[in-house]
Amino acid sequence: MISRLEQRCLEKGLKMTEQRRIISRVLSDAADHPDVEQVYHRARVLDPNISIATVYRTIRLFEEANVIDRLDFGDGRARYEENREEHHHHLIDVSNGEVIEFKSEELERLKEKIARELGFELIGHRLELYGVPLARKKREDRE
Amino acid sequence: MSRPTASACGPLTLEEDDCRCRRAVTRAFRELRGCGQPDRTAYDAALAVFRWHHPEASVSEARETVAAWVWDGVAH
Repeated sequence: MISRLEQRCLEKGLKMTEQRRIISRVLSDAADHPDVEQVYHRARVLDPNISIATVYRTIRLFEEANVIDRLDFGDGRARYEENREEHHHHLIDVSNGEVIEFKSEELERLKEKIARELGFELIGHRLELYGVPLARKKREDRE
Repeated sequence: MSRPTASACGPLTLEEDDCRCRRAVTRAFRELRGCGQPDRTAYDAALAVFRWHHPEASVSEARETVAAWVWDGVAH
């Protein structure tokens, strides 16, 4: 059975060699966010002939094809996870610093529309909302 | 975004470690980093939280304080 990630690679038109298939399986099965070294060690269990250079090249290829995401946890090592297309944004409650994840199809459509109207194809964006809970705001307005 | 007209935390001094908003500032930074957001994004968010609590602080004061709290501080 092919992995989800391999399926997405095929959909993107990537040629899947046996070693790419193994690396895609390792990434697809990962419950954590492995770095390149960890992917390499896991892939070696499945195929001892895989080289670290192949893992680097394949991960870069997957990243460029947008089927995996590079994550930055601030420890100086790039980590990766399968791009599950669960795109979301963050709302930050400035009163206490809480970060709330949210998704909005309406917002996604609006962003596409704005880019299109400006004559662009949208390839990426970043959005953070900042707010205070309405209950708190009303209380402060009264005081 | 509407902001308090005066600091909710009292006067800010860069040496002050127990400012009441510090927990909110460091939390925003920590949680965004925990989501895998880049350092700079998390810092900008922490800065926005700080600026809401301290509208009286200058931009450079705010930047310096937040940097100290999220990168050099110990109370994360």
